[in-house]
Amino acid sequence: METWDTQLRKGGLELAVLLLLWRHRMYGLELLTSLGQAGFAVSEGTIYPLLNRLSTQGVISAEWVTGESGHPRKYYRLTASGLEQASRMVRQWTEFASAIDALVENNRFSLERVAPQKGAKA
Amino acid sequence: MQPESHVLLREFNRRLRAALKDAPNHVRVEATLEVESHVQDVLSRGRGTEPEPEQVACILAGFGTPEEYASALTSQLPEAASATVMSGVKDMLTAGTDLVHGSGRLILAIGRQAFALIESAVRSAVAGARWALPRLVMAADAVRGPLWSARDLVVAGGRHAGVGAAHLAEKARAASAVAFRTGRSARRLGEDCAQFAGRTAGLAGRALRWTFRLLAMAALAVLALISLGVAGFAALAPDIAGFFVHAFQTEVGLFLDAIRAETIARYAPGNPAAYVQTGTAVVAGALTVAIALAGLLGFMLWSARRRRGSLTG
Repeated sequence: METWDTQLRKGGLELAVLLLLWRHRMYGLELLTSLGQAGFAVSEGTIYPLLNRLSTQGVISAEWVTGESGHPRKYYRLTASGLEQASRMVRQWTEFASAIDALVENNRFSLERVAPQKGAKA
Repeated sequence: MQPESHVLLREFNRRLRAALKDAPNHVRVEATLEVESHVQDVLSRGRGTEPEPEQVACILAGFGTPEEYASALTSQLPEAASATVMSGVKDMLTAGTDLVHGSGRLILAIGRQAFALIESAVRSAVAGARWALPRLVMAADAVRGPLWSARDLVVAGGRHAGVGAAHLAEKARAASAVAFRTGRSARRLGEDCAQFAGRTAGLAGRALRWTFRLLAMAALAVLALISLGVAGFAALAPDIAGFFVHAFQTEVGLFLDAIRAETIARYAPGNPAAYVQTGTAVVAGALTVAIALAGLLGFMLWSARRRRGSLTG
């Protein structure tokens, strides 16, 4: 179960990063914090390699900025191809989620029988 | 940042760079800068209550060990490209090594072969020299005699030729001197002949002139004698002289009459007056022509005499 959940989150992490960068640029810690708030508890050892890969692929672009913090920060933003890829991934996710939702809906009664309801006696 | 935090960060980055030694330089630089920037960002938020070095250690722990983080970073690089690059580099190194080895072996083989060839050539040359040297000495001895004789012959021939050439040159010089003298003689002869011819022509001219003079003088003398004779005859025998004069006048008159009649008949038949006019005109014209000719002749003679005088003068 943990492995499936981990895989699921791993699979969705890239889309989550692209969606977070959709509106504006962000730096590493900012992304980590936002992902944590979205339910993606990832570590630095996971997010930074992912950002480097996406940058190498040209999905995102990175630039060092020395701002108010006084030390340089690496900001990431979506590129044009990153926008296209994010849109594609959203479509695919929507189809996938719809398919799963449909399966869940079809088997609702079965699931309700298996999963105990709140307050229901065993 | 506190010194202990710096130490932890530096150590982490040192190990991270070591683990990324095969990665491109910009990857190493970016990775260490990113770690440092992240640590500073977390510290600047100031959430933790632990001492700063412990916070830094906790942050760094989120990256995993430097080796694990480096592995995660490099595994995210385009695998095909790096593998191809590494494989290609390995292949190149292997090929280069093989090439160097092969080239070395080839050079060695060529060197050995060349050395063997040179050695064989030297041996052959030495053997050939050993065989040929005595024979060359013998041949040289055999040839030397005739050579010296030939040399003497050539020297003698040359000497004779030189003598002959000198003799010929002397002859040529003598002949040219003779020719020169002959030429000079011919020139002198020509001059002499010309002078002689000139003198002869001069003499001839002079003789001719004297001849004419003599003839003229003779003619004048004859005329004078005749005149004297006539005058004497007329003085001594007036009757006979008168008879001859009368006869002469008659003959001249008859002659003139004949001329007049002929002239009238030819140019003015039946018009004697025209004859007189014509005759007068003819006589006048003839006299004029004669006078003109005489004048011209006299002028030519005078100018010739004057020119001769200027040439000789």
